[in-house]
Amino acid sequence: MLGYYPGCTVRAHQNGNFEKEALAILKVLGISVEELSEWECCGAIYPLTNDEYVPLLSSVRALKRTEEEKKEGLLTLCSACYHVLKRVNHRMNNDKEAKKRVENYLDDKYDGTTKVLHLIEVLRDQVGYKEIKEHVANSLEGEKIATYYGCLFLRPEKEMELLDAENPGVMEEIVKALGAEPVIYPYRTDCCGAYHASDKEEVSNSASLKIVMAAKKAGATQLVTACPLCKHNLQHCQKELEDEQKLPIHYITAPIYKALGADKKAEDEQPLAN
Amino acid sequence: MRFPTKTASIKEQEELADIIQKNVKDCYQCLKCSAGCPLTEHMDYYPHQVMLLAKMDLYKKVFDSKTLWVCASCLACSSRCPRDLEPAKVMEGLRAMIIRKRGEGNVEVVNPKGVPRQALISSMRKLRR
Repeated sequence: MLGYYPGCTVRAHQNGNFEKEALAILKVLGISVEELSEWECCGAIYPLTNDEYVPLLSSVRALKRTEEEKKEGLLTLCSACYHVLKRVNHRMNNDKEAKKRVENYLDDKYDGTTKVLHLIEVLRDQVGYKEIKEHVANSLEGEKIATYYGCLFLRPEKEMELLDAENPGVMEEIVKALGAEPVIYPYRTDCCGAYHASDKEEVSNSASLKIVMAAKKAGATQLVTACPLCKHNLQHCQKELEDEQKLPIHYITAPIYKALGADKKAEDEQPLAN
Repeated sequence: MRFPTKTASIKEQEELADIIQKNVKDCYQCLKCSAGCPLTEHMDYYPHQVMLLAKMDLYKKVFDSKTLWVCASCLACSSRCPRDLEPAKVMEGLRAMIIRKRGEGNVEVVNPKGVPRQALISSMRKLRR
């Protein structure tokens, strides 16, 4: 049983169906998950300064709770949550000073046994591409899907250790397993402008538009990503384009959900808490 | 870029080293950070120039630059830095110095409607006191 950590943005922006689709897919593929009994925002961004410890606290609480509830790992859907939780976990296990101070604040001990997992990682390691392929009910043949990784998912390479940061291929393999054609294009690991969506829109728009245009030029019919903020930025930057010029942006779960026919198989699924 | 001959006091240098636990003087200007930065078109100094200015103790120029507030901490530079100096971390340290003591850099969130909360929380944490 994996502990499930929804994160603030995934839970709040249900219009993308990220959570619903992800949980349905996991059910079809036989991975059991259970939401943590209590969780709070991971902090949204990992503090790069060495002398700030308070931003680590909320993530450590989630890691600690996973340990207490005896889950095999902590599953996240959002790249940012994954990035923050994994780096905080890494820091707690490698920085004695940080561990001491955080435990002082929390007045509690964290053993450091929690493993932070991303949906993509679970699909790659615990399910496998072959298994996904066997579950495909409606093959996506003819679809040309561009995959966008973004930054938080990949870097820093030596701490994330999930994918090759310069040439990742996991999402392409998944897309291939679904029967669709992955589109390789430049900038798929470049930043989309991230949090500048809220203060310097022109920065995030120009960075995102570059990515969308490159994907379109390479012949993509849709673009998939695993991060709610990337999805927002990639969609928002196209707001001045004509409708037929727009490239549809989806979560990585959307094509999987469609290919597995998960909507029919997961009808008895319980409604989400909110 | 023209460099004045007189350099600033050593204090800022110590402060920065304390915040990020790195020595910017190790930078050997390979330009990998600037070459891979996706947001350079909005910057006045390129990331390697910020590193150079910090290395030369020209903190006044760094604190006045736009670059620090354009950096989105995507860590492309940090991941590729052959000296493991993590330019994104240096930027964060410099931002922290401004935000903590110099009272500037509090950016306004101009477009909160429809922006995912992840972006709002991140920009509040990165760019405001």
